[in-house]
Amino acid sequence: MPALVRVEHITKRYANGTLAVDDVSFCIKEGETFSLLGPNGAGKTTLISMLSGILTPTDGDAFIGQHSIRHAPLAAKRLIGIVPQDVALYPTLTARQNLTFWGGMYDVHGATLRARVEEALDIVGLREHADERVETFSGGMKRRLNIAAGLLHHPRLLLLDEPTVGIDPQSRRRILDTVKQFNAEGMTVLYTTHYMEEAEELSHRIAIMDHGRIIALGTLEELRHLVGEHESVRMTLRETVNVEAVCEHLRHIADIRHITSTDHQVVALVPDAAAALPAIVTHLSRYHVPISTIEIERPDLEAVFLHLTGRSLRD
Amino acid sequence: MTKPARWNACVPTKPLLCSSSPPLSHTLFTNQPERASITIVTNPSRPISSTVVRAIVARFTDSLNLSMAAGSLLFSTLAQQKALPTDETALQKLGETWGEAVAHAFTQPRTSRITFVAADEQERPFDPMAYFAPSMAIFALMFTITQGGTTLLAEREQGTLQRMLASPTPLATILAGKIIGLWLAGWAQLAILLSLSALLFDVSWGNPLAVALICFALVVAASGWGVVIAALARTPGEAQTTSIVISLLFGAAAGHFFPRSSLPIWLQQASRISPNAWGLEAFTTLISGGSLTSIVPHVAALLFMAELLFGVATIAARRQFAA
Repeated sequence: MPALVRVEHITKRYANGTLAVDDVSFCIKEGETFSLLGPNGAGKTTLISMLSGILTPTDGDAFIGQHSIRHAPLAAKRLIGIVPQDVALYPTLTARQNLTFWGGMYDVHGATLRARVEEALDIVGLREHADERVETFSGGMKRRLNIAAGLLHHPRLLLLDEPTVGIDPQSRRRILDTVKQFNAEGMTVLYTTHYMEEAEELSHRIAIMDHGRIIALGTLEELRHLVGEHESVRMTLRETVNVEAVCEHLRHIADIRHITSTDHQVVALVPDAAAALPAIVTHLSRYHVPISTIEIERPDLEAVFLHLTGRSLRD
Repeated sequence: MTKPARWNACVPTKPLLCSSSPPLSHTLFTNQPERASITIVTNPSRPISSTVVRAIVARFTDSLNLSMAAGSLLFSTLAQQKALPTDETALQKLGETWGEAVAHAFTQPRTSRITFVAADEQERPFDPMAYFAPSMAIFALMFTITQGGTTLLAEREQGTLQRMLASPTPLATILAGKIIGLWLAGWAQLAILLSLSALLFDVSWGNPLAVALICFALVVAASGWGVVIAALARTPGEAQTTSIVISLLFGAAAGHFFPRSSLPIWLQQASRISPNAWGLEAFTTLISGGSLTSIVPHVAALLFMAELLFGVATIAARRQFAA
């Protein structure tokens, strides 16, 4: 399948000297859902802003279809629908008025626009609230309308920048299902998130970003292979425990390949969790460390990120 | 406490015309002191009332001077015609009689006077509304327009500007839409205020084409300040505060609250950087009977100011928005 998006050595350095995106290259095939996964500040939003023409790259170029974002930005923008990270709507207008305005910005007018507005309201399930002002909406409803505003011109590529941040689980579920539905209908999706579960659920391929660079790219299985056959042993400790001290003790266990801690959790990467578990428990008992729960997990993107950077995705 | 100000108005003592006849001062004020003075004591903190009193006294002394000049002319002509009595007592008697007649004429309210009116003009009495109506219209306009310029910053803060920039609508179209919207709001506001003041307070604004020209140039120049503020400020709050301060300063310096002539000369000149000063002067020129050509310099100045400000705003915006 041909590439709809081609990113070639794109770099962004801000006026204050911050290098937000550093020599990034990748392709997205037509009909693919491609996720950019990384912690906050990894450069995902800057990358999406460059692809959508909001920011100009310092170096490199990207092509949407055959159109360069540097040399034919308006033609490239016609193929893109963008759903920004923050809700970008007019709060004092109704949902329908907002969609009508944004449709106009994409040169959709008249009867076509009216039909598209109704269609978009149906897709995100807001037709009943079409004539209510956006300022009266819940966070989840605003997010869904934010997505609808990116669909009015039937884009070939939909850019979704962390669309589920700060919303309730029900709205989140609905958004993820909507994205899957778009992709099933043939739309190409570029999805950024720092939730590994979303990337795992939605994506054909995933690029892991950190400090402005892509540090790994592939399917979920390909990324898991990067960690090897290691499994994770996740231990939740009581709040009174000094987690750093526990990590120090556990590093003496030969089977543990890598160890990290977040809040009151310690995650140890081991080749065989069942074999390593007795040694871990014995060690913790010796130091009288109270354990609340222990979970064994197959390698996931968290483990991949941990393996590649030595840090947790949520750090 | 402010020190009272004093002005002296002096009655001239030398004859206005020289002739073989006795000087007029001798004729009229034989038993009067040679120098009379009027001292006006005013409160400097109330410049308007002091200006009014000074104007009344100046009018009185002007009338007096005019009467003396007329008397001198009359008596010198009579002397040349050898129509005056040669006897000094008779001459003094004639002078006193004439002086009394003139004084009596001044006390009569309906005495006919000669009024100078230019051929193509009509005399217009001072109408406070004709001054304050344009003053307040321009003052309100500056608030609206400079505040309106901050909408771009507000859009950036709520993310809608970025979304617009991601659309295939060119940046020039987006900015033109914003500016034209601002202009339409400004013109509508001026049209409402000018029409209401004409209907309710009977203010005659003068040539409609000239009024339209002033409104156009005024709104364009005011929007220039709006975009400069928007381009230099970092947040909508900062822009809003700046635009309020600038509107107040311009309003005060341009004479919206008290006559510009009562301000220091340097401040009067400095107020020329504001659309308020040019606009107010243009409107008052029209209201006082000025023609279309008389407001052309004001309109040209306002449009030049707009061009300059839009240039500054473009440079400042490039610096601020360059990411």
